[in-house]
Amino acid sequence: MSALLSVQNLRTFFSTPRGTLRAVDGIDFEIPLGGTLGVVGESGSGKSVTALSVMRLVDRPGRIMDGTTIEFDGQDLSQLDEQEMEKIRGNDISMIFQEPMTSLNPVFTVGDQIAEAVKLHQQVSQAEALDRAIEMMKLVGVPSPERRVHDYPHQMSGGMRQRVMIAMALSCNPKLLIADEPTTALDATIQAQILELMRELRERLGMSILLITHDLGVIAEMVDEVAVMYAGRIVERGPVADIFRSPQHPYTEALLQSIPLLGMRYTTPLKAIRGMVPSPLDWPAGCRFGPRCDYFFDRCATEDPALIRVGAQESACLLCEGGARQVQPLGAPS
Amino acid sequence: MSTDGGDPGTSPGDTLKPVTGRGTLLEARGVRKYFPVKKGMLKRTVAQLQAVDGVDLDIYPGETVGLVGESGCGKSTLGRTLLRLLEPTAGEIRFDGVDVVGLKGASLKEMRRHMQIVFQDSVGSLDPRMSVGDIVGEGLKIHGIGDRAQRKQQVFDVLDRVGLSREAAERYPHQFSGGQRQRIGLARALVLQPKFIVADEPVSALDVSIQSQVLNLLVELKQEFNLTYLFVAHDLAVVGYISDRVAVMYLGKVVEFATSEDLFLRPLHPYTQALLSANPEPIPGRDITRIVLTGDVPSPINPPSGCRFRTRCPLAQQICSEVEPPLEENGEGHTVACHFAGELVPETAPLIG
Repeated sequence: MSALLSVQNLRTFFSTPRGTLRAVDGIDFEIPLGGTLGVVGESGSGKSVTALSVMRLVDRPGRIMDGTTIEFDGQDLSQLDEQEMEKIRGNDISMIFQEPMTSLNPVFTVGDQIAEAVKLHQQVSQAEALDRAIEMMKLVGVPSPERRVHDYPHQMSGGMRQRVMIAMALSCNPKLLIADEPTTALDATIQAQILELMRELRERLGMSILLITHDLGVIAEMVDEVAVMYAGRIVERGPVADIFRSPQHPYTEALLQSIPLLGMRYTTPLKAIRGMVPSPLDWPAGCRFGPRCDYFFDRCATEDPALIRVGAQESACLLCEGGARQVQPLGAPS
Repeated sequence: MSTDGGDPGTSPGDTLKPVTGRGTLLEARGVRKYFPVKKGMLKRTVAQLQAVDGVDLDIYPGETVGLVGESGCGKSTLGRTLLRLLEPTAGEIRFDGVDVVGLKGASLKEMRRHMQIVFQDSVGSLDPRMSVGDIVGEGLKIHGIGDRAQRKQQVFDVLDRVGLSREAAERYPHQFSGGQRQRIGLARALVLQPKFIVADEPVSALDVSIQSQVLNLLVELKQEFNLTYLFVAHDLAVVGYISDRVAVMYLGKVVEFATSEDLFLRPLHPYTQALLSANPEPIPGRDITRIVLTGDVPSPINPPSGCRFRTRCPLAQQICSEVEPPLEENGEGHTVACHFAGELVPETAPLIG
């Protein structure tokens, strides 16, 4: 399978009065045609900036550094000017965000907003665009779309608004959908509906998906390949099943053990990762996870490990130099 | 205490303090909290939003009761009403044998010392212009406990206990991360040595690695200070982890109440089952029969007749729209409000492994 999106050495920095903030600091990843990649990480790991960088939506004082290539469908997006990029956005690559309320315009009906997206990219009349909006709303499971196409965003529930966002994003048949925390603001039963919808649409429309989330549960349910981000870097990546069964990077391991699974009780303390995420203004020398890592040893203070292949996975940990680490299974007491 | 939430009357908490009645610390009967919906220039009340609509709850000393449900189910309102941070529309609330609803003035103030709250929003709930030392010490000052030097020492002690340094007392909330601010909120609640803490979504805004730090801290503090918690959250795995017993709320009512283990192994209400099956577990390839509920939660201004869950329930029959199912015992210490309780169980039982 050829790659639809191939990102090499992505570095997105922000100039601040206190110095250069290295939000994304040299990451590579690929998404095959029709494939799905999950990017998981905590606040400040750089996952959302990664998504915005691919969309070229990073505003000043942020910028994508020289040496970055974002190859999409044969073009290097990092070299396009704003006008050329506008043709790609919405048409070939669409994005949905966490908060559908702030992403929708409160003074226009949802139908008008979907129709506008259609008209921006296709030569159709308003009536045709509205028909397309109704069709899209039907596709994403908005009940009685003929009526609700005239609703304003505030008249809809959070789940319905996220469906409208998805309808808008898919209205021009994008090749790649970037979903940044698409269900984080939703209740559990509504999240289940939206995830179900995304799975169904992926199968039906065959688009590629870049799914950004902090939720390892969503990753497990939605994607086959995952990249784990920490401190602006990908620290581990590979097939979800392998990584969750046998995480090779100590950060992934600790993250998986810090979540209470259904049925776990307080008599078993959770794994706590000590300390905090370091500041992107001043990443630690050597391994960036070193100061919080249980397996820290002298070399970690000075050597910045690159991704090392271990089976089907890759892990940026010096301990993986000698092959796979033995790791406790998920849910076991630490 | 161990995991024997089913017999909380014998928990070690009992030895701590004199309790009344059947040994409950907090007893709620028929608690209702309605918010008037006003309209027009004259602000006439046109409807009532039934946020909490008739909840009975017993909380025993030393246990953690979890309240779980989705946005708008009334779980936070219930927590605040039990502390009388909101005035109940109807119902009785007894804390340590004292009728909380009738309290006024000095006796209400005294009661508040023993009942504290920790909020989700650690930014909005900490005054940005007060130093952390003043925030944490404010309760001591209000209650006239100790002199200035003693209060300062108590603030240092409690900061130390929640894992913050003495220097933190001189700093301001914005200088701390989310996890640290949640520790400040805990310190503020703990400094008065309360018996009972309502923790309202205390870890929902935190990253998972920080969430586990705070959950572990809550468990340690509970044992150390013989606390009783009402833990309010939307995350079933988190609530089940920290709680001895869990009440599931839907549209202002408790629909199921059981020990944490029992609720997961034998969920009886179709809503509980749907919530359990909707929980995304970090276990790839998990084979589950997912119950995806259709539609949204109806408005609490005009809730459905009969059973409030019937509009989204896969089991709903004629009777569900006519007769409201009472909360009835179904197995020891397990209550459920459903005409068809347990009918979906065989498919959802193997949800946890």
